[in-house]
This record gives sequence, structure tokens and C-alpha cells, in this order.
Amino acid sequence: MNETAWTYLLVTATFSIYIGIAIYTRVASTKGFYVAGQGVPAILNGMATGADWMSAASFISMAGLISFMGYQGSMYLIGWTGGYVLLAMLLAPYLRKFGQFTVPDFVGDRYYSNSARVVAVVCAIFISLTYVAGQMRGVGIVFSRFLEVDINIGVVIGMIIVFFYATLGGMKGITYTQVAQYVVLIIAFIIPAVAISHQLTGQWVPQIGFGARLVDGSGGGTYLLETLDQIHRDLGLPEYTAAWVAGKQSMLDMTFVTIALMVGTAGLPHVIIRFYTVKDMKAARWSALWALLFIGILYTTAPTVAAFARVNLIHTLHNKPYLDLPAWYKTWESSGLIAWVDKNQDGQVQYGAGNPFVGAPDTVKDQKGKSGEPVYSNKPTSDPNELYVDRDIMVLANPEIASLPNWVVGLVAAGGLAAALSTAAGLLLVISSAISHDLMKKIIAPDMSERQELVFARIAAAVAVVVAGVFGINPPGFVGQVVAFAFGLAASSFFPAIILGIFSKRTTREGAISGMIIGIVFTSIYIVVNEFTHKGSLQAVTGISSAGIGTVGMILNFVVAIVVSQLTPPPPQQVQDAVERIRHPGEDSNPAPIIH
Amino acid sequence: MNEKEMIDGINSRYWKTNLRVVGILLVIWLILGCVTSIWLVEWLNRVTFAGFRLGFWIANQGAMIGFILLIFIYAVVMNRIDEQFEKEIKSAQNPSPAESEDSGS
Repeated sequence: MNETAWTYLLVTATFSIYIGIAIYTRVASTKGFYVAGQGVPAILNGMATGADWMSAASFISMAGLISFMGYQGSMYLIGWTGGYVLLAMLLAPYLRKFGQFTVPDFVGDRYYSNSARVVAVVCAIFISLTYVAGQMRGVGIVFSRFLEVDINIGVVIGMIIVFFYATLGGMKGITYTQVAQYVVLIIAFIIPAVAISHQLTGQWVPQIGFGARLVDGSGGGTYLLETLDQIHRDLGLPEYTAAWVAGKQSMLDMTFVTIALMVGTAGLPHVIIRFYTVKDMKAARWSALWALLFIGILYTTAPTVAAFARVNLIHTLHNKPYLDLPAWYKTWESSGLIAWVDKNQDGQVQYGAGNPFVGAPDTVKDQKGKSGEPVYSNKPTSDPNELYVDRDIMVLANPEIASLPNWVVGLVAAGGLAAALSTAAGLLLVISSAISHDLMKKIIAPDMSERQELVFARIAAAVAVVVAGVFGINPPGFVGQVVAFAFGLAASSFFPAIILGIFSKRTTREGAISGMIIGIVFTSIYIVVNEFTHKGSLQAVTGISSAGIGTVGMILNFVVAIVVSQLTPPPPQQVQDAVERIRHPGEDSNPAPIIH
Repeated sequence: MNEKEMIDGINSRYWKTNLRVVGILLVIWLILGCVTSIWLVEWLNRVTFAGFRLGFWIANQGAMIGFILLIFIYAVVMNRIDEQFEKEIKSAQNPSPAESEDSGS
């Protein structure tokens, strides 16, 4: 069977499983729809959290990013796993004990104010919508690259699948499909990594192969990472494993980005609500452990894939005649993920520092170069580098680069789809519950029945799917900066409000609201100016990139919230008692009161 | 001391214990996340083992393994502390001689 047939088979099979689960887990209560009935076992919730958390970016892009950043790429690893320590110890158990359905629920009740609730609803929807657009786009990209379907048709297929299980089963349907999706994505990520590790180093465990000696070929007998550093020196690039050398990110910025990613992770509503689905505080703690363990399997493998793929890529392409390049090169060349310009007219591919040309490759139709290569209209740079490589190729083309069997290629496609769909579903639920529960039930129409609320929840989920699809088909110009936005906003809005809500009884409504607004406004303005209106201008002054500014926004939020709280009357006794209760051991016989 | 005061006392001791456990673990978290992985990375890189520079390995593998262990310790220790305090509260609520048989789980 060829690659396309395998891909169709595996994608259809996994999609059938997801739909089967959706039908089996359909729900009829709001508790089922929002928090899966709060009876999800800790280990399954851990898996679901893993799939919920690991998005198209983690699965497709992260290893590629690390591959091009070397040591500095570890900020994604540390940031995105370190956030779970904060979640486990500072948020999850207490929020579970407070016992509501959503994050705006907590903010609204703890800060005894519907204004706070509305600010939280707006933040939750904004964060989730920016994030979900990228996921739907990811679905479209996987479809178009592996199945030669138009990107937009791919997005629509993804929408239909998510629509089905998100509106039918709500959180319960999402939870159990995410469990299945975790299994699919982890197998799809690990199998190529194991095979490549064994090919290059003779070690079956990638984490060990990472530090082992290469078995043969050029560089045989030396350590993988030493070889990589040597290759980089030869090509005039900064060493792969070196830290603070010219041409690499600074210590200051890396610190800020790492903290923003950690805190942002802990403040993302779709991750937080996963901890509402378990039985009690103790299960929430175990759940956090399982989640990080399952995430850690992929995250400790990603840097090994990055290093293996980099060695493979450079060995296979650098100083090789274009006419002798392997078949996979041609496949990915036609999809625009890799490109070559013969600057010195020697018919050979030279890789090196800098970009080969400006922007992404733009092929000139019906025109061929001297070696029969496509011709690009992009303006070449003066750098010696002749090779354009899209970072995503490191994972997507990995099985082909390592000449693995065809079914592995199909598996990677199914894994990429599982990663994107599971995250999209979790985000859509946040949007839907923010509208039906926090906005409709809690503010606009408190008298509506549970059945009506459920209808609203399903309509809101359906509308959110469509909006996400529209964003996926017409991605706003800022898709690349979406990650910086979502994490920066989560770090500068929810994280301080929730932490203070639990750990400081004195924090008042006025303090929390002004903190959230100032944090978010500051972070948004910085990102918008630094990314869109005056590219790089603020970073040139402060040394902090858009991805790292959330850390400053978070600190601002904390300072403003604490100062304003001291200047305003303390929270009502009722609220202070509710905070006191979440600090007690064991389960409450009476749930926290709902304050309006 | 009446029952309510006793229970309040137990609850506030529980919260202080919780803060102490979380505080200690978060200090280690900060050391793993920022100090060894970022601030001291060049200094640690002078040490090599297997094919790794130490600082590079901590940033790419060690810190994550450490985070998993931290949550493991937290879950085990805190869940045990929870149970212990729950028992104390129960015996404060029913100060009958039969409480010693209430062995829980």
C-alpha cells in the first residue's frame, strides 16, 4: 500500500473511533456537558489533559523550532512543562474544591461581581479564539499535505468532526475522545523517534540515543551532539548546544519567555477546566501528575527528534548535487516546505547561515533552473545559504527522511490531526460554556431551566466551531504570533486573579478587575506595537520579545491588584468564608455558595 | 477549648503545612526552571557526561524529569497530610472513645 492509501486508512479509522465515542458518551445534563459529571478517573483525565494541551504546535512545530534554535529551544520544553507544577500546586486542587464549572465562574464568585465575571468571559473567549484558529488551520495543513485535499476542505472536515462530538457529548464526549486522541498522537510521535534513534545511534530509547555516539556514516563514532556542534561550526552557524553566543537569543529574553510560557500554561482556561472533571482535590493532584507524565513522554522526545532530524537533514542535503537528492525532497519541494536556489551555479545544495531569500518560496510557473529545479521569484540574499527549510518539515517529513515504511507516514498524519482536533475541542468548550453558562445563565437569564441552558451550550458550541472554521480558512495575518498572544494574555490576566483569589483573602473586586485590565491592556499594546505597527521597536529598547512580555504584564497585574485591594473595602464576610473553606482539608458537605 | 476553636486550629495548621510544602517544592521548581537551565547553564556546561553538556541536558531533559518528580512528591505528601488532618477533624467532632477504631483508609 502506498503512503496516501495508508493515510486515508488510518485517518478514517481514527475518526470513526472519535465519532463512536461521541455517540456513546452523549450527555443530557449541564454537569455532564460542562464538567463530564465530575467522575473522570485521574489517569484518564491525565491523558485527556495531555491531548487537550498538546496542540498542532507541540506535535508538528515544536521539534522543528528546537531543531533550528538548539539550546534556546529548551525554553518551550521548560516553559510548557514547568507550568504544570504551578497548576498542580497553586491552582488545580483549590479550584476543584471551590467547585464551579468554569474559570469565569470562579472569578465572578470570588470577586463578588458580575463585572469581574464579564472581564473573565471576554478574556476566556479572546484567548481561546486566537488559539483555536491555529488548530483549525493545522487540521487543514495536515489534510492538504498528506491527502492532497484543498486546505479549506480539510478545515471543513475537521469542523464537522469536532462539531459532532463537542455538541453531542460536551465535556464528557471531549474527555473520552481526547483519551483516544492522546493514544494516537503519542504512538505517532514515538514510533518515528524510536526508529530514527536506532538508525543513527543503535539505541532504541531516543532519550538515550540523544547522548550516544553515531553508529556509522560521516561522523561515525563521535557523540551525536558533538557532531551537531561540529557541523554547525563548519557551516558558520553558532554551536547547537552553546548558550549565550552571538546570533542566539539573550539570557534576559529567554528567562522572560520561559516564565511567560509557564505562567501562561497555568492560566489557560481550557487546561484549568480539565481539573474540574475529577472527583475531588486528591484526584486533581494525581491528575496533574498523570498529565505531566503523559506530556513529558512527548516533550522529552521532542528535543531528540530535533537533533536527529537536524543531523539527517544536513547530511542528506549539504554539498549534494541537486540531481541526486532523495525522493522525499521532491515531494516536499512541491508543497513549498523546502526550496533551493543555486546561488553559485554549481548544481550542489549549500546550507549555511542566514536565509536563502526573502520570505516563503514563491514558485515561478513553467520555468526551470540549470539543474531542472523550480525557480522562485523571491529576492535572494547575499548569505551563502541556498536552502529554505520550513520548520514543520522536521516532524512531517521525518519518516521519509529516515526511509521508514509507508504506514508510519499515515500514522504521523493521524497523529497531527489528533493533536489539533483534541486541543480545538477543549478550546471550543471554554468558549461555549463562557457564553451559555457565564453570560446567559449567570448574568442575562438566571431563570432559565437546565434544559434551556443545555440548548444554549450546544448552540454556542456550534457557533464557536463555525467561527473557528472561518478563522482557519481565512487566517488573520497574525497566526504566527497567536501563541505569544494567547500565553501573554493568560499570564497577565487569569493567573494573578486566580492565585490572589485563593491565597489572599484581602484581594478585592476592584483590585482584581483593575489588575486584570491593566495586565491585559499593557501586554496587548506591547505585542501589537512590537509585532505589527513598529516591528521589533520595543524589543530593541527593552530586550524582551513579544513572547516574553506576558511576564511583565503578570507582575503589573499582581502589583496593581495588591495595591488597589489595600485601598478598597475588604471583601464581604461571605466571600472570605468561601475562601477560608477552600483552605480546609477534605471535601465539603455543602458546596460553596453562589454569590451575585 | 470548645469544638469550633479546636477545628479552626486544625484547619489553620493544615493551611500552614500546605503553604510550607508548596513553598519548598516551588523553590526547587524555580531552581530547575531558571537557575540551572538558564542562569547557570554556561557554568554547568563545563561538565560533560555521556555525550551531554550538563547544562544543556538539564534544560532539555533533566528539568522536565524534575518537574514530574516534584508533582509526584507533592501529590503523595499532600494527599497524606490531607488524610491525617481529616482524621484529626473527625476525632475533634466526635470525641467519643470509639474514635480510635475509625481507621479510615
